Amino acid sequence: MKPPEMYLKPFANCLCFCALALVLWLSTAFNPAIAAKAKSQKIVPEQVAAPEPDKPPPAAPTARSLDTIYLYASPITSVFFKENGASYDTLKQHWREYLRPYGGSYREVSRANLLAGLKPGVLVLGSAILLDMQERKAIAAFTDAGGSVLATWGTGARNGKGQWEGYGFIENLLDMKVTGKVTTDNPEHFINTFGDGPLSWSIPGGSRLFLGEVAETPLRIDSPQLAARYFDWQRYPAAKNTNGAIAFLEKAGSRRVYFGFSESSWEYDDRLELPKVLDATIAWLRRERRVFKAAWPNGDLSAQLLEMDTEDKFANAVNFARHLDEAKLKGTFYSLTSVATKNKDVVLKLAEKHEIAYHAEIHFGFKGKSPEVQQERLAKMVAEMQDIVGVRALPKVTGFRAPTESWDETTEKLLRKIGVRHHVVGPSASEDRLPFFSKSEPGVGPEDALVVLPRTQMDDLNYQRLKLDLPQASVLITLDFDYLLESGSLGVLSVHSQNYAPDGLMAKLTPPYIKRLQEHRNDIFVGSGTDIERWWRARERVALRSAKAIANSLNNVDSLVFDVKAPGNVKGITFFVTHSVAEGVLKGVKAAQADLPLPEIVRIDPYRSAIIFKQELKTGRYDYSLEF
Amino acid sequence: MNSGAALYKFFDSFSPSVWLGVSALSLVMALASGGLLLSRQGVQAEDVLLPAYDWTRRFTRDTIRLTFKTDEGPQETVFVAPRGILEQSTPLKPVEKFDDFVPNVEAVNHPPLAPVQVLDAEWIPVFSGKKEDVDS
Repeated sequence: MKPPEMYLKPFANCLCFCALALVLWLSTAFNPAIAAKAKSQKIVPEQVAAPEPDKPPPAAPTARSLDTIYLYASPITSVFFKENGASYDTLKQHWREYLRPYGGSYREVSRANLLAGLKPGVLVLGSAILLDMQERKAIAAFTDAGGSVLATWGTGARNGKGQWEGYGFIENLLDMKVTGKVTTDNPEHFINTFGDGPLSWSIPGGSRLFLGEVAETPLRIDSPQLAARYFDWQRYPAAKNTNGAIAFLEKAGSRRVYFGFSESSWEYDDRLELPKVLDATIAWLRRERRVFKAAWPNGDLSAQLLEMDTEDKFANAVNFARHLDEAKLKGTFYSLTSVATKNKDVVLKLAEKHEIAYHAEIHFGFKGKSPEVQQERLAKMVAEMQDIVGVRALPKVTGFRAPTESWDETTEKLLRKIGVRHHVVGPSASEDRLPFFSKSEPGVGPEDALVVLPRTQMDDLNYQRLKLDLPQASVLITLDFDYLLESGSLGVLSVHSQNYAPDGLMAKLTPPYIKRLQEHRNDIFVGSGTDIERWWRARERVALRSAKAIANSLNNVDSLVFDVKAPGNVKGITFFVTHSVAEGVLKGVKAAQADLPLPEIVRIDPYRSAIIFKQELKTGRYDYSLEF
Repeated sequence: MNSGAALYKFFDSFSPSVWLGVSALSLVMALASGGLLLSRQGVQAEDVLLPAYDWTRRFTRDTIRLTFKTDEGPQETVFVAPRGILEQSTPLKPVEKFDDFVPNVEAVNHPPLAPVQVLDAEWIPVFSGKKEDVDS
C-alpha cells in the first residue's frame, strides 16, 4: 500500500500551481497602474439628483435626425430586480449585444439623460418595468418632440417604488389593449411574423419563431396594427384578440413599436431571425425608407392554392370543381392514379378547367422506403396517369402531393427526374408559410429545383380530428384565411374527395371560403399549384441590388435598382417601399433610361406603397429613382 | 535530461507536507493580495462575495437541472425577472433608493476608422495623395 504522502504530493503540486496562477491573475487584473489608466478613460459619473443637460456623442458622418438609438438603462428597474433576487442586466445585455453594431449611433442613457431631454431618436425601453412619474413625463416629452419608442414586455407596469400600476403606459403608447399572458402551460410559444409588412419584411411571411417556455410570460395584446401573433407549433388559429405579439403605431408624429415578449425569449431564437425583425423595426422607427421584393405578383398580399386530394369517392371531385367554376377559380386535383384510372371520365372533365397532378398510385407514404421501391411506385404512377390523360397531356402533369404527406429526400430526387416541378408538403416541412426550393438537391439551381408548397393551414382531416361541427369549423377556417392574408403567406386549402359529398363538412365550409377569396380578388393571388410554382421561379430571377433604398433622404429621392436574370420573362414583379411618414405617398418612379418600362404605383396602406411591373421584364438591369 | 524528469526532481526536492504548506501560504497570500487590491479600488467585500456566491449557486443548480434533466415542476423555471413581477398580488420588495446608471459613452462611440462609403460599390473616391483629400 502506498504511503499517504504519495497521494498528497500531486494534489499539493496542483494547488501550488493554482495559487501561483491566481497571484499572477490578480496582480494583472488589479494592478493600480492599469486600473488608473482604465479609469482615466471613463466619463465623469453623472448625479441623479442634479440632471445635467444631455450631451450627445459627436454625430457620426451619416447621422440624421432620428439616427441615434438610446437604450434606456432604467436604474429603478435595475435596483428592483436586484432587491428581489433577479438581474435586469441579463435582459438589458441582449439589447447591448444587438445594438453594438450600430456603433456611434447607439448610446446607453441614464435616468439623468432621459430627464434632461433627449434629442429625437429611437428610445428603447427594454422591459423597463418600473417607471416613475418623471420618467413617464420625459418619455412623453420625447415622443411629443417626434422621437420613436420601442417598448417590450411589461414596460411601465410598476411605478417608481415598485407598486403595481397596470399596463396603462404601454396601452396608451400604442393605443392597444393587453388581454392576457402566454403562461408556461399554454402551447403558444411561437410567433408568426407578417411578411412584407413594415416591421417584418426582412424574414419570410409567416415565419415561426420559438420564444421558449420562459418564466417571463409574454403578454397578449389586441391592436389594430400588428406585425406578429402568438401561435402554437401547428399554427392553430386562436381568437384574434388573444394572440397579438408585436404592435406598431404612428401617432402624433411619433412612431412606436411594442414587443409583447421579454428579452429572455431571444435566447431561443436559434435561427437568428429576431435580429432581422429588429433591423427592420429599428429602420421603421428611424423613418428610413426600405425597398424590398414582394412575395407575390401584381401587388397581391398573399396567395392561395385550392386543392383536392382526389382518392376515395373520386366522383366527389366534381362537387369541388363546381364550386371553383362558379367562382371562376382554378384548382389542382392531386389524383391517386390507381383510383383515377377507374374514374377516367371524371379526370378528363376536371382537366378541362383545372390542373391534374399526382397523389401517388396507392395511398401509402414514401418516407423511408428504398430508392428502388420508390422508383418503382413512381414509375407505376406515371404509367397509370399516361393511360388516363394520354401521352401528349402527360408533360403537363407536373405537380405531386405525397399520400399522408410522407416523403423524404429520395422521393424529391426521383420526382424531379420524372418531370415533377412542384411538391405540396405538410406543415412540418417549413418554418415559414411561403414556397421554397427543395433542399433535397442543394446543387440544383432555382430553374430546375422542385418548388415546395407547404400546407400550413388546417385541412378537413384536422377538423375531423378535432370533432368540430360546422359553426366551430367555420370560425377556424375564417381565422385561418385572415391570418394567411395578414401574414402575406401561401394558403393551401386541402380537401379530400371522401369528405366532399354534397352534405359533407368541407362542401359546406368551402363555398363561403371561396366567396371571401373573391372579395379579395385584388389582393390575393389565387392559382393552381403550377401557377404558384411558375411565379416562384420567376420571382427568383429578380435580384434587388440593395434592400436599403437609402440614401439621399435630403433630396427625398431614393433609388430602385434590380437585375432580371436569365431567362427573364418576369411579369408582375412587385416591390414594396415603406413610407418615412404615415400617409406618405410615393409620388413617382423615374427610369434612368428612356427605354425602361414604367411601373404602376399603388398605395397599400399608410405605411407602404407597391411598385408593380405588370409588363414582362426581360433579362437585364433596371434602374429607377423614387420620388416622394 | 528531459524537462519532465527535471520537473519531477524539482517537486521531489521537498516533501509533500512542505509543498502543501507552500500552497496554503500562497493561497492565503493571493487572497490577501486580491483583497487589498480590491479594497484599493473601493470594492466592498460583500460586493465580491455575494455575487460570487449567487453565481456559484445558480451555476450548480442549473448545471444539475440541465445535465440530469430533473423535472421538479414550476420551481425549476429559471427566472430572469423577479418571480411574479407582472402579478399585482405578488409581494415584492419596494425600491427605497437607487443610484443612476453611469453610461460608458466611449464603449459605444467608436469614431469610424474607414471612410463610411468604403463598401459602397458606386462610390468613386477622389484621392490625389494630397493631405486635404485624406482629411476630407
